[in-house]
Amino acid sequence: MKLLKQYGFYIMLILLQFSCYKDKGNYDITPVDKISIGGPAYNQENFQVQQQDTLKIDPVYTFTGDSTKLKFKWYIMRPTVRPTDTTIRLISTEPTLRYKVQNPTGGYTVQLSIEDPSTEIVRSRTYGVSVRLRGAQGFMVLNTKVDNSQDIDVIIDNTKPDIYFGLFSSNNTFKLTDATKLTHLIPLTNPTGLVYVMRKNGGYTLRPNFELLQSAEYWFFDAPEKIQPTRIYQDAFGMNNYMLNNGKIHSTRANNAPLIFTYHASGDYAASHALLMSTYAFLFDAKNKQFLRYNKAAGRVMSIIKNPEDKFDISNIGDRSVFLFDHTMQPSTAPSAANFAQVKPIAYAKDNVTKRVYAYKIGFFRSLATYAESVTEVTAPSFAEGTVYVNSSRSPLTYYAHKNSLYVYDIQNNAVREIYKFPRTDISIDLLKTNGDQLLVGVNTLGKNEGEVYFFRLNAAGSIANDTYLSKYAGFGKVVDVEYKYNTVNMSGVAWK
Amino acid sequence: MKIFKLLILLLAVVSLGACKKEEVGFYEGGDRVHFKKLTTNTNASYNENRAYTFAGKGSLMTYDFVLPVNLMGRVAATDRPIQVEVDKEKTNAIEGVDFKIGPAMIPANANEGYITITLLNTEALETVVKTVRVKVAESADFKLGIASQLYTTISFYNFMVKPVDWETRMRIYFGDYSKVKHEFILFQLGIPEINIANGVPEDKDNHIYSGSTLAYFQLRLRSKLDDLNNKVIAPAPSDPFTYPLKDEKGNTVVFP
Repeated sequence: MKLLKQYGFYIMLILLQFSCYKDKGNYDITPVDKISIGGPAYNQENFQVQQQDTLKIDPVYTFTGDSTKLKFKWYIMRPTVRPTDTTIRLISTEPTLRYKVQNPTGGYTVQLSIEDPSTEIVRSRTYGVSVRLRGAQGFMVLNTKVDNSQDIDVIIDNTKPDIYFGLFSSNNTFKLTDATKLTHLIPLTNPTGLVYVMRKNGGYTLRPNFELLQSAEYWFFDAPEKIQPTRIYQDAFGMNNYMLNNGKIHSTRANNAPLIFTYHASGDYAASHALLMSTYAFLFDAKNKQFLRYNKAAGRVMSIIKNPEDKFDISNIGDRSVFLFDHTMQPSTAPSAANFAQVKPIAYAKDNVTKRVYAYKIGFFRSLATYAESVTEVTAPSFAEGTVYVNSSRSPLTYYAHKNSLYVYDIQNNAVREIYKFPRTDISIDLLKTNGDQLLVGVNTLGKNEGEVYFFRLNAAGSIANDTYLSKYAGFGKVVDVEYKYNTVNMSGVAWK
Repeated sequence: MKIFKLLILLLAVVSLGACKKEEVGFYEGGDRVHFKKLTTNTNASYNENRAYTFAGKGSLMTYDFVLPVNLMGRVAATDRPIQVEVDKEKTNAIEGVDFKIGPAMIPANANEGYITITLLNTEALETVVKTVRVKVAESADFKLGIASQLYTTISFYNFMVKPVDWETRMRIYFGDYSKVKHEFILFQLGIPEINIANGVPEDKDNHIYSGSTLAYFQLRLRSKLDDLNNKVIAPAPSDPFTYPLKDEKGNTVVFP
């Protein structure tokens, strides 16, 4: 028995040796051409591009055969996608990649596949691409394109020629329409900032990269029946927040972003204009033709207390409609014991019957109680026919446009002077903004969705320095609004309005 | 050694017995019904007490209280009615005057059904809590189900029950309590009750709200009442209140 086991073991050992025998075979072997792709090892930052840049990749590859027959495919995808993900996009079939980046910001993987069609052998290589925000800071130009869709383009620096076009459209999958106004809020309570787009009915909150964060119904705790926003305000500290929606004023309970506005303040009013100054919120009530004040603590819009010194009835200005309500200081100004004598809210109102224009000036006592300081008729020619107005933020001046000219109205002297005339007459000046040192002008071609943005430097007298513009930007659709977007909290107090 | 081999043989024979196919038995207890336990907590015992208030519902005159019922047994291809009895000893409501027994059945091909008790809003409910205790009864279709789940008691009334946390936690949002204010709150917010989440998370489905939510409610109610009092807005057609709003003691209703 023992012997049998020993023999059995040796026989097995011998049989096992055959498994090592190399089978030479009798196949026809054809050498296969080899593809190899070189280049840097994968890293998420292999390529860094800004939106709208052209991503250029010249791959390093070798092929032992005829390289003209190779097939190339370039794909772009998020790094975490699965192979079956429908968001993987074929972006080129050329040997070198030239791809205009219109993807949302973030990390991407670009994959190159090279196929030898004769053997169907495919070699691949991936590259990390980081798409960064374009337009972190600059003048956001809301404009309506030829096809009536809208976009936000950004003038990066008004002393340089660059414009980044299509920042809304390249970051969102839906078209922007019916937008009327932009507001950028970047207070201390949210130093990342958010862009608010107000529309005729509704609106959007956009992240700093212009990507949709939420739609307007989320602006409110109790969404109102009609969402027709005309104004959103937040001071630099983020403590005082207001929204004007469908003639009603709303505020917030908390200051964290994104803001949630409360139910509107009670009162018999339909606010067409508001002068919002930190804790002070003055309204013009277009329904009852009166000036009112919002008392946040009481949650009510209230009458302004009358004083014996009043020079006009603040609760009844007659059948007149206000078209500009502002002071002539920086937009961040709020009345205080230090500046109460300088802060002069001025409301320009046009008489609905006579079409004459009157300037209503409101003053502050040192106690910061208000009084109706004066009402005067603006007799300056063409003022009543202006298309757009803005108050200076340095002097008691009001800039306005009429036909193809810019004018400045001297409030104290009731005098007007033309400061610039555009050579073209087929234009409409639809937007004026100032930061005290410069004047921004939005100029549209009559009857066309075609617009330009001009910047003028202002001299000490409030006129145009050197009688010409500082810079000009074309290529926009019809300019609807321009808002400056900061990338850090602006505590300087100097801002565009 | 022989004994060992015999033992293995014996074990093998016994093991074969384990392979015998056992017949699966059928449930033969008949079809039974009982009230459904309305909680996802399987350890919680059945609570037969339910309540309903007509307060804050405007001019609502009837309410169909639908009680879910479980079937134990086989589903059937036809609707099967459930027999319902009133426990007269523990019922002070009068059938036909204060309530009616509505449709009660296990629908075809369903293992769950319902019993409907229609509550009638009478003047008496403004001062008295009416109670009806109903029992699932045996019928030709069903035997009785789980013994502890055969009864449901519904208490119904038409007045406000002051939230238990009003004085300690809700007062800062809504001020002094009054029945009229309570009704106004429920009517304007369109909810049947209001509670503050005291030590538990906000649960809007069950009308338990965080302090933050109550603060938003407060601002809305204050604005709305102000506009209603001053005739800036007109009351809704179903609004049962008279403005300026006064409470049951004649005091002006205000929100802080």
